[in-house]
Amino acid sequence: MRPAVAHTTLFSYLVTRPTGRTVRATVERQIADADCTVLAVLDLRHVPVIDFSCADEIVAKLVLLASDASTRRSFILFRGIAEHHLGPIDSVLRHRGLAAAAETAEGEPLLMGALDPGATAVWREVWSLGRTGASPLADRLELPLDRVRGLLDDLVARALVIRDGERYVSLRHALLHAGPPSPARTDRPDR
Amino acid sequence: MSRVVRVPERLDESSFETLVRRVRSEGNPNARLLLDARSVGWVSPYGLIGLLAVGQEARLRTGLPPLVEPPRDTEVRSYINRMRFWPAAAQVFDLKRLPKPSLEISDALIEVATIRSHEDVHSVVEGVRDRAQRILHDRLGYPRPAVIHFSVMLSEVCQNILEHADSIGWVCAQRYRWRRRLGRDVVVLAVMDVGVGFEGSLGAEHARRYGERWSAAAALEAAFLHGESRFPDPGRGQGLQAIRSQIVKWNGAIRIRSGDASIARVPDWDEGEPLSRDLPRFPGAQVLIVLPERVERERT
Repeated sequence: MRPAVAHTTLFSYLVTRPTGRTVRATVERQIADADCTVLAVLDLRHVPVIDFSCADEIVAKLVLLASDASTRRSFILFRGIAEHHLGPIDSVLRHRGLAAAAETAEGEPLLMGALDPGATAVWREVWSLGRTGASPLADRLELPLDRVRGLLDDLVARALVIRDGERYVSLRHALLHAGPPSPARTDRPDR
Repeated sequence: MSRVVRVPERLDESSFETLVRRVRSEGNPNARLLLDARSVGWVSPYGLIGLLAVGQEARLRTGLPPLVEPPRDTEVRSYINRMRFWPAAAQVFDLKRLPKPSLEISDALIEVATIRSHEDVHSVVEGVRDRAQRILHDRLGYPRPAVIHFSVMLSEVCQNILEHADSIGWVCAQRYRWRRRLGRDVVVLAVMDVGVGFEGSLGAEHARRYGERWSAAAALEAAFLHGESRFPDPGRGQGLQAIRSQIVKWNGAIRIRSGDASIARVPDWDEGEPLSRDLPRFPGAQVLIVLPERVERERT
């Protein structure tokens, strides 16, 4: 499965709920307009401030949408995450028991929000390998295969990893192998 | 015929209670209010926007725009002019004439700003960065990321006006030297509205569960200590919790007054009650935040 990639680069101060709702609506429209599974990539490297209200409206609610099995046709990857974004984003995700896949401004993998250590370890390994099966993961992590399968199922359900037959694909790998990106969107929220 | 209420000579969070008590008890409550501020010799950000709140409450209650006699003291006049008090006051009071805008550059962190919409919140938050850098980082010794944390806190506390008050509000912040009380510089941030208040805002969602125990104090505890909100959405109510948590990290103080009660985070350097009841009733919410200068051992 190769999801279509929809890029959104954000520039402005992400404060207040109406601003967050506007940004989220833009991404939701990109997902709804696509006729296939979408990997929505939100780049925050130019965002000087994100507050809790906006983090809840954008990050938490998009992650909720992606992890809703009844409607899911989307995965969300946050890029350009800096230390000052992390406090509000991590807090709102934990408040709702959610987790989100991200990459720091330096390109390091970052799992934000609430996820148990076992699932986190598996997620990092999938990120590192890009595309892999359950058995190689179980070998590398020295965990029972059934346990690894269970953790992978959880990551797939949370839209943190893409399942492609018997293989598991990191969101970063899906992004890098998605072919030419859709025209980069540089949305500024209408206030 | 107007009823005249004298404004305390030193107008801050403490004497605001005196002013509210006077406005509630003196003269015909339905007559036009005239706030006599002529003898005011010192005013804090809380006192400054407190005047607007008292005026707005009278205006809403009586339907008559109140009057205000400005302070006589030239320093105080100059200060409140620099703080851009009068443009905000013109929307509350019946001003015979608006003083000329000050040409002096204010050293305030935030001059008096009216919050009517989310655009106003954006404007305040986006405009504070350079001054917050200069005051919080350069003068008070806060680490650089604190400037962003302050912006987030400011955004959340201003949004509280719009999300919960259904009313306009005001914000103002200033740096001071608190010689006697603390022996350090502080930043004082005040945010106020005269809307429905915490008791009214949270009532529809929570009052039934509390029964007869429901009150302004119970509403403040529910929001401030337990993160409860008037919205059933589980993502709501985090802003105030985040503010409290940030203030604890900075060993600052926060006091929220609403209705006839107030709740506070009282640091070791301050005095005051964590929870006060039976204050003179006043609508809306009035928030005071004090951030102390970081001393050497705290600057890591």
